[in-house]
Amino acid sequence: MNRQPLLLLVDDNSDDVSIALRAIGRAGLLVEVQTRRNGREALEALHLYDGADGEPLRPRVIFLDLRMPQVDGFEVLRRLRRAAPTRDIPVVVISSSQRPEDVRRSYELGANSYLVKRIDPREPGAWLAEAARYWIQLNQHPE
Amino acid sequence: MTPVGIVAALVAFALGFAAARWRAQRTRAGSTRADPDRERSDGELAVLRRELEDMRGELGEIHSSVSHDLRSPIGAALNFLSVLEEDHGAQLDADGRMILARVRRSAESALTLLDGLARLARVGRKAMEPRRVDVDALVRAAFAAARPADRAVELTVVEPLPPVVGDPELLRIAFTELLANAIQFTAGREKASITVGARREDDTVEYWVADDGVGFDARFAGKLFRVFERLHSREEFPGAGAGLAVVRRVAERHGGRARAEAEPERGATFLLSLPARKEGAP
Repeated sequence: MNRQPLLLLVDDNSDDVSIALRAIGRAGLLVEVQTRRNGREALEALHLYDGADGEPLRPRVIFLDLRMPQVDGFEVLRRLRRAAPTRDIPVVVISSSQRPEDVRRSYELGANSYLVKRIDPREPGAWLAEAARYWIQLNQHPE
Repeated sequence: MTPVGIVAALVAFALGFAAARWRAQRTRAGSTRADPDRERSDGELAVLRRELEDMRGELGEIHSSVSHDLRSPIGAALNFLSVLEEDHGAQLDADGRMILARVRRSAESALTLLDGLARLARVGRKAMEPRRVDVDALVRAAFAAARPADRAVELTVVEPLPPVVGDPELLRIAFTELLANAIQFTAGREKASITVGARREDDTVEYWVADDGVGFDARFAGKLFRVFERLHSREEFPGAGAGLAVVRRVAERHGGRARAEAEPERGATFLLSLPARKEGAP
């Protein structure tokens, strides 16, 4: 049986993660979502950090927060793009920062998209589910 | 930065700022009394000026942290309110639903205030890139973008507005705020009219935006340009009360000023005067 495509969500804000999971669930997307709470946990899961074991995750897309404890999103991006197995994985930065310098730096480090976290109480997290649909269903991925 | 950290930083900044002002006043008083000390005072003044500039930068940072870092927890509260309403609303009685609506209104109003603060922080931090600005085109475009879809608001421009040398982005923001303000305070009028004009004096261009809205008591004109000051209740006219503070900030950054004239129920006029510099002049 084919596994569903994997979306790796890296965010230390458990409120945001909870809303994201609910929205993706309600959107009826055929996707498996795994979450990691900071850059170090994400790099471990991708086998880009010492001490990793088991099979490395190979997500279809990574949704990555920027400001996180220990290893931040910029460092994750830098390491992802340096390693051959993860170089082509699309990375969507999701951040509450609208600072032009954060946007510029993210793209310089190899982000494929930059989304500012939105507050839409009528449909909490719908913006993120919409982005997930695009990257999982519409975007063509390198095999 | 956590909310507690932000408050602590603000208090520390305010104390530092007050101390620097006090020292600057003392130094200035000293330098007028004793000319032989003038050289030393100039040096001291240079240090104080640097200190004030550093603090201004720091205030900008704090300002932007407050508006940015507080947004996230308030946004989370609003999100979970929606989840509560959608997933568990059926278990609440009418009283419970009314309380939820009140909590939502409060959180939304906090968010509006933060958005106002963020707008103010943005115009304070943006690097000035002065060039010749076609104010006439800018005002017409800003009005087209701000015009409400659900009622008639007419714009009259008295003669083509003269161009000015300034930062195009900051001026666009200022005129957008002035027009949005005029549109908002004519909300009760079935057919509202906004007039924009300008007069040129020796070294200034003064632009004015007049509306036929509710107006205000001219005694409070100065208060209007302070952030979060309001002369009408939020229920009557929603918004953060930051728009005119943004206009004032833009005026000050250009070396100009903003003021208002009005009478209750007879509309209001907001004036933005800017130095009439030549392009390329400092």
